[in-house]
Amino acid sequence: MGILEIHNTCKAFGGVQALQDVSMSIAEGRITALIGPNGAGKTTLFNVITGVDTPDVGTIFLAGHDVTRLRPYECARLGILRTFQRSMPFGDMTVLENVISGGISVSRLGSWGGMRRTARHKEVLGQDRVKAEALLKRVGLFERREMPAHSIAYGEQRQLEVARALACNPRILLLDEPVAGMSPEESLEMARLITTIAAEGLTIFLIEHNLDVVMNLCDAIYVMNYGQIIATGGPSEVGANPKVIEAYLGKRGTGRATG
Amino acid sequence: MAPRSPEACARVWGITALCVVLALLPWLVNPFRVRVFTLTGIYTIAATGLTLFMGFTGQISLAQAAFFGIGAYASGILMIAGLPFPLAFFAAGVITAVFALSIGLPCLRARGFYLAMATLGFMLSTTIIFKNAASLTGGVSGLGGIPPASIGPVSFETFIPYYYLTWAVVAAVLYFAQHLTTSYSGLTFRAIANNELAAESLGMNAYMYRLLSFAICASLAGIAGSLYAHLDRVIAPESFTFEESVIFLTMAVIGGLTSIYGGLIGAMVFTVIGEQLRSFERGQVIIVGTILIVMVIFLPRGAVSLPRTIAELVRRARRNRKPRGR
Repeated sequence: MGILEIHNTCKAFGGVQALQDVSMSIAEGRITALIGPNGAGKTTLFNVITGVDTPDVGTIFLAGHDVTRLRPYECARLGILRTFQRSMPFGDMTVLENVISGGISVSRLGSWGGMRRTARHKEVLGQDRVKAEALLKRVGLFERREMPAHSIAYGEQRQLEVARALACNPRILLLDEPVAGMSPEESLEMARLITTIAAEGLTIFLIEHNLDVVMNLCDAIYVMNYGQIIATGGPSEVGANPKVIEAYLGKRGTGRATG
Repeated sequence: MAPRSPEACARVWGITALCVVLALLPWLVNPFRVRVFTLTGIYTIAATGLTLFMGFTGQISLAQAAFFGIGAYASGILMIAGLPFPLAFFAAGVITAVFALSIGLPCLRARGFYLAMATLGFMLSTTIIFKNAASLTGGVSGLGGIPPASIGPVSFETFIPYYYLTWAVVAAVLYFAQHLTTSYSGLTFRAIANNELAAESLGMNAYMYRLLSFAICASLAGIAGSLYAHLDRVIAPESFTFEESVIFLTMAVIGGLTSIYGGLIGAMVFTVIGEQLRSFERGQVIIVGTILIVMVIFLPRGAVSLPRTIAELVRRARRNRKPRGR
């Protein structure tokens, strides 16, 4: 059984069936990708998993816990963390404050901590700061730590979002198009980051249009179209699946799926 | 540790100078003025509450004068009933927080105009209740015979001791606000104000934080109301109207929503200007309105941002003076 189990989930917006009987199982410690044409329902699925939207039908389990009807902050506290398609740093805060704030809900101080300046509080505050700085070093933003988050480059903002999510102790990290809009160098940097955090045992579930990244990075792939899962398997299996080629290139397409 | 930014520098000097001036003030001016400056302190507390709420959540509350009134009547009625001042003062804060939670629970799920409308409705109905619940509030003629404030054997009956008591509360409130904004709770509030969706996806409960900051906002208005009730020891409904709410709102905006000192500066600017312009009578409103418009245009971050704005202007002027090219 996977760490994240999605059973027969449906979600409609008005007359549009965004998710139709979606079931999947995300294996722990692996990198799983979700691909599909625009409007296939990928981001809706992320929203349903993270509690932003509630499914009409179906259940979602994280490591055996039913998380179907939880609010976003409750999902996050259980370890379902995500980044967004459009980067959303806390622009007015410094880069370091962004990462520290990501860790508040799991800090030993609790969110009202730091109100009292006892020695123990100071110690925990220090530990949280060290943890945040270590995360910034990992994503290569340590030199930027005192800058306001809105002033750093786009690619750096995306890395910052990953660091901020990591600060919240994820059990599974959902990345919505992590390399979209990035330069080839930035994409490579991000792919390397994803590989290293996955190598440490964190489960990664990502949406991506860049099929080079998907094919090289991922252990398993789900393909969605019109709100349904149309194919699943390893990279080579999915790449050869005629249904996938059809969804991406149209009915008469015969070329490679990596176009 | 040396302060680095011009703002930090201005803050340290400003606070030191302010403390000295405030401590000496009662001995330099006539008793009538002491009462006015006590009133400034009381307004500061209520405006600080509003600053925290609006700055943290970006919402508007039009009910601050209602909470101010509830605090005043609660404190007055409880003391007439025989409770000692510290208990009545504390109760005023708690009762207003309970009222705030009961409006906030349904309204803070929605955002923006809904809360503004709900608080407006609450404000208008509260004034009517103050006027008509005569058995409890004394009706339109007001509630008189409120006992003077005292803590144990220390009485605050005259203006000068009461002035010090009020400003001691102001200091405590600002100290609390300082801790609230610099701790993790402050970081959480800023995160939610920056981007609620991102904050929620990091485990922050935005709704609960909005509710809490609304309760804190109301509670500060409540204790300010309690201090107000024992200042003249008579209160009347016309002190707690929608217009008063707008004045609190104006103080918060004039002072600046980005700093905990915004409420203090707003209340000072407002009362000082108000006093200076007393002789203009009706014209006063026009002049205050004009100042407000000018400030919103040229100092959108409030009076509190004046040092930074000046520093920026100086820096720009210097840069322009440098010869171009090398």
